[in-house]
Amino acid sequence: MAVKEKYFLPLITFTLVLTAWQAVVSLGIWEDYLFPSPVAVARGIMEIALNGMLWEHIGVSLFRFFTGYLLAAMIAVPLGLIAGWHRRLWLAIDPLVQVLRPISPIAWMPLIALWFGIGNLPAIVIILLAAFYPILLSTVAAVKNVDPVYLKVAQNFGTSQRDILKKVVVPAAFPYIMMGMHIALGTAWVFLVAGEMMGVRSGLGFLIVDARNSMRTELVLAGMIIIGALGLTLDRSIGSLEKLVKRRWGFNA
Amino acid sequence: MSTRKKIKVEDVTKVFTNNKGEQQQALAGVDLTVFDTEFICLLGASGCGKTTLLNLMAGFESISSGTIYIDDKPVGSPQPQYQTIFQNYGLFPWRTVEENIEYGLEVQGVSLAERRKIAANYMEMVGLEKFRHSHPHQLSGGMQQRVAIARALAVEPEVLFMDEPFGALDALTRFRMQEEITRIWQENKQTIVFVTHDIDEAVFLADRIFIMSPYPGRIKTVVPVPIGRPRDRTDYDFIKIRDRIYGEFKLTVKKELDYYI
Ligand SMILES: Nc1ncnc2c1ncn2[C@@H]1O[C@H](COP(=O)(O)OP(=O)(O)OP(=O)(O)O)[C@@H](O)[C@H]1O
Ligand SMILES: [Mg+2]
Repeated sequence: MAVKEKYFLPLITFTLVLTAWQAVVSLGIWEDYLFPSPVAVARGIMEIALNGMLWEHIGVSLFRFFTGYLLAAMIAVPLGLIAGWHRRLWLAIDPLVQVLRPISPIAWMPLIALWFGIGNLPAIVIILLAAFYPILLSTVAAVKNVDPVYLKVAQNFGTSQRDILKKVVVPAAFPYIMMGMHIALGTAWVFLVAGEMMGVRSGLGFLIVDARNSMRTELVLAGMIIIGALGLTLDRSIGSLEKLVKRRWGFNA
Repeated sequence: MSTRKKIKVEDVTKVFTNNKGEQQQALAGVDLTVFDTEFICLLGASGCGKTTLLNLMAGFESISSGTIYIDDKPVGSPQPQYQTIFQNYGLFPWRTVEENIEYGLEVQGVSLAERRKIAANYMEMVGLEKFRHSHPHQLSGGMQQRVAIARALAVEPEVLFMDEPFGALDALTRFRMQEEITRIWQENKQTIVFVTHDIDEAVFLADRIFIMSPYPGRIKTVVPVPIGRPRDRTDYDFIKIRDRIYGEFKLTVKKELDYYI
């Protein structure tokens, strides 16, 4: 029953929203190009799916996204491990991080465009910036919250400092780092469109900008829906990975 | 039990300073000697400094004044040959039972094949062969504490420090664990310092019971338990000693009342 509800109830929501959307369109208050119908959007999706454009855009977008996201993880996780472990290092850099963190990646865009020109790089850097802080902060917190009894046990067995990090701190912190990676994925995905709105001629962000320029609003909406659907899929995937890790680690999640 | 002194605690005090800068004396002038291969219990009410004393002996906390010697050497940082077993087990949840037991050997650089062999031996000793690939959270509390004991034993320690290791277990499991630790101690001949606030447990396990009193923590009385093993909780001698200890605690209560009047 619960499993059925999990799919059935959202289905009702989607049906209601689509029906309401179509009903508003049928009132005929706005021109079609200002407010396209769900049918027109579906036709738009079909069109770009069949001529292959959609898959190309999705492909480059995912490439840029994962490059930026994984680069962020590759920098933020080791940095977070070191900063979380060395109390004074974190005391020194925490204020700097707190000043930089609230600056939206969008605010960086002019500088990023100047520094990295056009092509894949600016989009990748935007994603990297967006994913970086959640991963860094959750890694630092994860290390600081390692159960002291694990450290005592490690010390008791004569574990070297290097081995304590490798054999105890990293695995103990791992589920929380995964949690941060999960949050960062959602945060960074939001900035995909922004990253692809300038300096590129491909990707889902470009699809939206390009469709607007040629007044194909049904394709604008198609791009939006695809970004949403992909975002959901990615979130669910990393969510189940996180659950798997937590179960392995004995969390009752 | 030999007459060689394994652990000597000489006039030890411990003062904690909390984050408001207030000082609290947890231990005052504690003297005690533990002989080689002896099993002693530290017994006392909550807050009398049992954990503090154990942590000082194991090297997890620094002494405020006085000295503690193990094997005639002043205690510094924790050593692999003196193992502490914690109440909440301290097992690594990301490692299987087998990998937990191997941990100490692994950091000592023992080869995998050798580790597997030693781990198998200790898994058998604590009766967990069937669970070698399980993760700690898949085991009951009693089984988890067995893993912790096996992990400590795997590095062949000379001293075991145990801080209320069975405190979280139900009464029946606790009885079984008490029998098991007695058997393991008889087979391996470690020196054991065992913290408990369970009078029955102390009488069942210890060669000598060090009764502590609080504010500040000190050793109040030492009660020898000259009963052979295996011990019978319904035995006359057992009950006599237990009653004597109950008496000691009543005395403590009366003294405190006097103090307040
Ligand atoms: N880290 C600490 N900082 C400040 N005070 C402490 C600290 N650890 C212990 N104390 C104080 O020292 C006293 C002795 O504590 P301890 O934990 O050794 O008692 P215990 O006999 O083990 O009690 P329990 O049976 O509850 O475990 C207590 O009054 C406690 O509040
Ligand atoms: Mg205690």
